[in-house]
Amino acid sequence: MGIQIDLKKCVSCMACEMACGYHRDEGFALLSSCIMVTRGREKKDYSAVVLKEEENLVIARPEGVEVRKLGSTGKSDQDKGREDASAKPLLLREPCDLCSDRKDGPLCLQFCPVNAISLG
Amino acid sequence: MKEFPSSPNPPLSPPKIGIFVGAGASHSWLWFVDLLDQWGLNDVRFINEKEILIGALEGVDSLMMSGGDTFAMARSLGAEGSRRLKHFIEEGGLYIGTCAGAYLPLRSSMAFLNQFNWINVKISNISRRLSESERGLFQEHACTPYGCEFVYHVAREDVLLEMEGGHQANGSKKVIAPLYGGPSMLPSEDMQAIATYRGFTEKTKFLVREDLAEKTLHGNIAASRKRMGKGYLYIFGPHFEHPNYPEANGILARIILREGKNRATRSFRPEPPSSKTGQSFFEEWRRELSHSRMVAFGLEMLPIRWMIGNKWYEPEKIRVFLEALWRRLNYLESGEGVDVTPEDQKGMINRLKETTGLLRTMKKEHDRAQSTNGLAEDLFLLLKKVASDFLTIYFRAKRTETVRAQA
Amino acid sequence: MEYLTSNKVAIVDLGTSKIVHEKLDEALVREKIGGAGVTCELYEKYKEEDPIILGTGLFTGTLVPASALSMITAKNPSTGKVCHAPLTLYAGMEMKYSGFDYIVIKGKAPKPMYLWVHDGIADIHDAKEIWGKNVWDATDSIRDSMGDALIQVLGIGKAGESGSDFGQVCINYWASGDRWGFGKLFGRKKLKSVALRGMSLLEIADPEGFVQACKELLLAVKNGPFAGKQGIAELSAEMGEDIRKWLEPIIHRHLSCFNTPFPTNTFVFLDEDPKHLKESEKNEPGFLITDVYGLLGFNKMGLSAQDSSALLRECARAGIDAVAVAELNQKAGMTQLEEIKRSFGDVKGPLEHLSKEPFSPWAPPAPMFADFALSPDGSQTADWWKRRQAMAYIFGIHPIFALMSPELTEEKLLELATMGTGLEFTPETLEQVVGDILK
Repeated sequence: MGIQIDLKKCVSCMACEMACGYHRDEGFALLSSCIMVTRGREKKDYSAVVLKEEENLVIARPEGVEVRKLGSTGKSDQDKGREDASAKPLLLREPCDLCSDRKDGPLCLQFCPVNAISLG
Repeated sequence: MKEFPSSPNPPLSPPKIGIFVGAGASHSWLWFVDLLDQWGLNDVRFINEKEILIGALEGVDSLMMSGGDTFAMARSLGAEGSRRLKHFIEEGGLYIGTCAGAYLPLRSSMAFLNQFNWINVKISNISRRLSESERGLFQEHACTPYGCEFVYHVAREDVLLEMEGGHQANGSKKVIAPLYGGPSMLPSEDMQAIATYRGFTEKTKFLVREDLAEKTLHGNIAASRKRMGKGYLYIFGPHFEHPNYPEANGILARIILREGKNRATRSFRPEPPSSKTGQSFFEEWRRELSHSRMVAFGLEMLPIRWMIGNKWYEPEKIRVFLEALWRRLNYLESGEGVDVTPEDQKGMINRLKETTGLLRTMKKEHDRAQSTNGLAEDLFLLLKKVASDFLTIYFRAKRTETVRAQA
Repeated sequence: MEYLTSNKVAIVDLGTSKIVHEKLDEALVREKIGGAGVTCELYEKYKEEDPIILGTGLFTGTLVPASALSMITAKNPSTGKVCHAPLTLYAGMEMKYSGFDYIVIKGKAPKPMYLWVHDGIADIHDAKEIWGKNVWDATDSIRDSMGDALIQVLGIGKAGESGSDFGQVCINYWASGDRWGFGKLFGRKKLKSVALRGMSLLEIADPEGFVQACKELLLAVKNGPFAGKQGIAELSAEMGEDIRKWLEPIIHRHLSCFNTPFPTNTFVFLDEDPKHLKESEKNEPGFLITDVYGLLGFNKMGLSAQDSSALLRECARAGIDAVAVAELNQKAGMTQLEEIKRSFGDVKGPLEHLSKEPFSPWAPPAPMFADFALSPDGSQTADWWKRRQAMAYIFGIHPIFALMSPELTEEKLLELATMGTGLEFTPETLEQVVGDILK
């Protein structure tokens, strides 16, 4: 079970990012969110939603979803996905915990105004 | 990212504590910073291998060796570093090593590591203890080459420990701490166990089958203590200093308070204070730190990471350093200034500007589809220096405040 | 002030380059709530120095639905009336996190400058490298030099620099709702841009109560009559000008302003296949249409959607209000693309429908999609619109979305204000603030 993002529906409003930031910091900020709306290609209207999970970085782009292993080790491409047992967590953007302490479930999903986020 | 909470009751006379920030130290040294800050242990300085070689240990009662790369630590310290560390402990110093810092003093035949053979103990997570079929199984998973053998890891995150030798957390012998590649040790007469691996929790992440993980860890030693001359070595497989584990933090802090003042330390910086920082210094610092963190934040949204040593570094790691400073900036800004020479002030600002410059260059190079790996290596070295400089004056200000309050 | 605020006001004197930081007076917030309530007060305080006031609404940048709005409050250089221009997209939100709730810009710079506001620092920078550049190049230049593509730039182009009555303060690369010629005011002060970036944290007096109330409000709002509709052409259709089929072939995507449930903006691809999903290899493949009136203006001249959008792009580059360009060119009988492009420097003359209200007519003058229970004869609509805009500009709600969401009642907003700030706000206070703004 994890967060699924439908980028075709997404309108880049950042409500998910702010909701996640609130979940982490109990205030409004974007520094700790594990879901991020990328906004750096404004003139090209190119945007993605990035989700940090326990083991993966999920990058939902308009053309498809890429899943990248986090905390991996190894110099070669084949090794890239190998677990690095000694990687220490960064404790900045904590991986998505599906807002497990909230009875209504993930806040990002509840605050998405266009239902682009679902659990699947 | 809230401001860092201040300690409620700083001790009257805290031990002088050194945190190792030299070669091989990963960002987990910042966890020690949080722990010491939380416990009001604010007589803190930051030490790298070069400073150890010119006598920096003379100025501290305790030394914290964090996680990271044990080989890099051993190589950079060398025989002279080993001699100085040993002398420091034998003269009453307290050595606290977690994870890589725990492997360092264990007996080893490997080059460089064999200069630190201070504890005669075997680890249980080494391949020579495995059957042929198990070796193959483990080798596919997380392991670190160790000569003809390999050190392997069976679980990450939470492990359940049983404390021994009077160490307790809130009256309980059971404590949870996270494991990120730290050692599991077989019982040895050369040391006294203070924590034993007893099990797992629902947050444990198994890297191999649970029964194999249990076979490797259960009943073996997670943390131990050894007397060496007038001082002590405390080594911890799991990270008792991790900020999310206050009970484990408490055990570690009490060890520092109890055992960390057995030396008659001399002042590390005997020169009289020369110049106080003014508001303009902190304003300049805020300006540049803001510049750095905004570029770093932007990098977090790019499909970028760097291979440094044999590890992947994600861009988020940059802000781990910067946020540790940002969270403490308001405290310094609202104070009366700190004693820092004008040259040091200038140096600190220049290094922070250099950090911003490097980050901006990395962003530009990435936009031009150029490699940024070399720049990233320089950046992480610089970040250690920038962070430890700033935290030095932060702790100095905290110490001054405590002394004034007690007076 | 402790909650929903950075608790800081910057007073910037362009003449002397001096910047003073003041705390946001809690008494002022109790009396004026926020947004336009406070910017009007600050304007009065500094009015002798022809100030430009940048201000955030009380809820700007929060989880309150559509909390996207910050504003520029200043004297309309043509009419002399004090007006408010909306700052939406991500700029309103960014200002809230920049470390200042309000920024007063007074005096006149001796040479071109830009203001760089970030994380509680406000710096005046020399603008010699960007003065004379168009809006797009100036934004790129600031972002490149700072290494951060997320900086929000309120900037002027040649129109504002040269004193055109229709010089607009644009947002990054796009048109804004500045219908007042505030670009001319920026130009007169030799202020090329205000660049904003912030990574602050806003604390909340009753965090869980506030967020729960936001959630309930969003649930009530998001399935309203606008559900399923998106973009600028739907706004236009609702206003009785159906350009949906005309625009559809070039639409790439619809975008919302920060946390706004209805995407009021539409990105069109002009030099790229609109169906292209991957990142375009072209640097500037299209344009984000943020102003329905500008688009309609060119549409009425008989131009194609492609040409109209290309003209909007040129207007934004030059920092000139497209509505004025369309209306005055049509009046002058110029309807050809190239002659319109060449006309920017010469566009002069009064506009027919110059608003007498303090709020920008960028927001359509009637309810959008929703039923606000107004009398069918339209007699209540003008007053309702003013009041609705006042709410939006006080609390920081997207001014167009305020016209679509009857669920965002004044009672609800006051309740949220109390939960968010811990301060008691009464309907009487709100009444007083609205009265003051509309005075």
